[in-house]
Amino acid sequence: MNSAPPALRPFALALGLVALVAWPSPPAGAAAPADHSPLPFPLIERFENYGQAEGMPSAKVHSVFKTSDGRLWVGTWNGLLLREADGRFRRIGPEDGLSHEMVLCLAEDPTTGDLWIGTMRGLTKYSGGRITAYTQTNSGLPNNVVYGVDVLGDTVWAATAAGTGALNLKTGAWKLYDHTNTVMHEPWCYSIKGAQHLVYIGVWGGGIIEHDPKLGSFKEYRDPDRDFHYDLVPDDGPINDITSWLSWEDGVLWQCTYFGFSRRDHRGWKTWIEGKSPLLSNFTQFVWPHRGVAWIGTDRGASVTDGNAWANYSLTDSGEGLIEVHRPNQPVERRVLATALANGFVLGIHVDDREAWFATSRGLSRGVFAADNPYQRPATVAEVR
Amino acid sequence: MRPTGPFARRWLRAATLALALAGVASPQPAPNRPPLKLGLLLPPAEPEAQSIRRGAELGLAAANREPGVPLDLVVRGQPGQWGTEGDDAVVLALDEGAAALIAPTTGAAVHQALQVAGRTRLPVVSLCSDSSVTSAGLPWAIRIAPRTDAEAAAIFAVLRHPTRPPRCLPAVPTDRPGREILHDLETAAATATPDLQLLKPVHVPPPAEDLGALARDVLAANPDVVLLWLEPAASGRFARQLAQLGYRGRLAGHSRLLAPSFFAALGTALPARRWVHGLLVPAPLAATRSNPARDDFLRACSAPLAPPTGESASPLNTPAPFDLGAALAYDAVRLLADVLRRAGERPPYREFPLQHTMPGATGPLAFDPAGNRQWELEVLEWRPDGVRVVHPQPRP
Repeated sequence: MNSAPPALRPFALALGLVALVAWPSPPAGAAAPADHSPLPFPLIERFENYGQAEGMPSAKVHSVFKTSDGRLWVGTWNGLLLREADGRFRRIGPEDGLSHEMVLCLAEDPTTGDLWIGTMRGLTKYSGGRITAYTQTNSGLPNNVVYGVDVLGDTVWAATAAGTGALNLKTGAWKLYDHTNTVMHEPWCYSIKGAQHLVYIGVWGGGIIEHDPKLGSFKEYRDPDRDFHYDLVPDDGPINDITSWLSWEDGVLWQCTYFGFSRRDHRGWKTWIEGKSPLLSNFTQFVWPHRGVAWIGTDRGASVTDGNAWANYSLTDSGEGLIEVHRPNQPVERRVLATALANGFVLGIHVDDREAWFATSRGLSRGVFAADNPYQRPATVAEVR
Repeated sequence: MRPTGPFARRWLRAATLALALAGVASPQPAPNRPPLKLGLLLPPAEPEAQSIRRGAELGLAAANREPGVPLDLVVRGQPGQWGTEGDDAVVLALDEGAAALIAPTTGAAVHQALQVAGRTRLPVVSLCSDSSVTSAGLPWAIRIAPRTDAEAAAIFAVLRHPTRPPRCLPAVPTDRPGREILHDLETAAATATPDLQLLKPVHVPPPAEDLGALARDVLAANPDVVLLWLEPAASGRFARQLAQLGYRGRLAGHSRLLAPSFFAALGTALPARRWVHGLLVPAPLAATRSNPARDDFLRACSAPLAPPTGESASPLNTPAPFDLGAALAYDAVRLLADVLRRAGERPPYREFPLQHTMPGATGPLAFDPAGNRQWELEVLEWRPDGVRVVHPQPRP
């Protein structure tokens, strides 16, 4: 859903390498160049915000997701919203069959287009206007609090407060994975993501579990230093065992924790903490990877990075939008934006080549990209080739 | 939880009377100001439910005597499958509209409350001693109880053996609670001065199980000290079992043994009560020293508790001088009331990390940036002539 088409991935990689080679390295202490080096991601030039004044039933927004047909879905404290073609929001609530009014997470079945909705009290399927609710009492869902959901092949994976549930869509059978039948240190599953043939489970207090459904294997990634408050040895593994969110794209695993942010790729682990890196806040709670770039939701705004360059979107004390751009070996570029994120507490993000959407605790924000530095679109990649 | 001893029954009657009086004395909330709700997560399995609920209700009455927006207490806890505490936290946070949560002494329930708070930004005050609670890193969550490793360190500082490091055998619960307690005990033992030897623990299952075999295992290991880190009532039952099998070594335990249920479970048989002498328990300074908040709490309880002595070395005159579980819940409610009133129209999570200190029944309510209570702990020892403070050493 959120990755480049497989056929284009080698070209995207090549483009990244070209950008890396072309990266200028000014001498230490050099003044900021007038022309900054290009960034591997677009910058947001303004935000459009949607709250109760725009017809949303709640200012508190937990999740945002654009399905493959281009429709925008918004999970709020008071129901699921579908943004209609005219820009209005249509609400779907418990009275329509939604298992609970507070929507925590959203995922699309890439085969059928069905939308799976994790709520504070059950899992809900939205299929062609039909709504089916799954709860602990009417199904094999391990627990009613569904913090994460994803669809991989014929299986829906639900990360719940008491284990991971796997619903086989062909047979209707459920499987439960928790601390009693896997290597999970704790049963509290806070996030989940399908990754080709694997499933990654973010465990509250148990790091990350890598599960191969075909082999039935489970591998655990834990913070090697086991210290909750300090990253004693950087880049040695997940930064912390309390995984607040995770995601995966093209072989790269991203982990959010309340003590910093981690990435695992073919080179190994890389960790970032506030103060020692441009990461906006150690309190990271959502990541949306797109074309090798992580869009990170924190309690103070959003950080965007490919691991080298960073852009941070936050708010000043007076509520103005602030952007900070960190390029390697260059001075930090700070600018006040004409508009700001609706709120700094970012619980959900959806980014594609055209725009970025942010679920915040005081409204939904749309980030409009600056025209001069877009994501590399297929046509651009073709030109490079 | 059924009161089993005359002490506990007397305690309960006094508390009921105090509650009734407090209700009469409380000002009525202004009709145009709906009360802010505090959610108390109290699962049926919570061993100290009675104390916690009583303390929370007394704290609510005290908080509502103060000026400011009125408060209400919503208690939730239903039997169910594993993970039901998460559902209960959701009910409190969303259906009941609680502005803040109080989480119980069991770590699993606390973590589920924290998970809900992680997505809702509701402040949480935890009564659980596991170090893992504040290790979760939620900025708007704090622990009001002492940490297990800090309590253990206080006890270890007292233990001595004339010829070798003292041999300490932990008696801990089964499953996750036992695992977390052992982790914290090992952390404290690793830095203990002088050295001590932590023996292989016994994992004590629920009370329906036969405790005799486990007690015999303890005796076979010949420890110098048994570290009672079970729930108060279970600790009392196991200590009694050990005594009946002839154990005459020393006992030590966590601060929540300062509970009527512990002494009730020890039984009224004279040998067991006499034998408990030598018991070491860490306690906040407020358990032995007078302060206005503590005295208010004790008056509200109207219980036959120890008179304020003002001297750390003075003996206390009752076997359970201070119901710490009730006092912590009392302080948790008062603290959250203060946080919510200070926040006013602002979201209460913005009050965290808490910068100010307020007096509490268990001592000053002050917290470090990670949300851990900043405690001054004493170690109390039960002796034939009463209870004495043995650490830090009282000045001559």
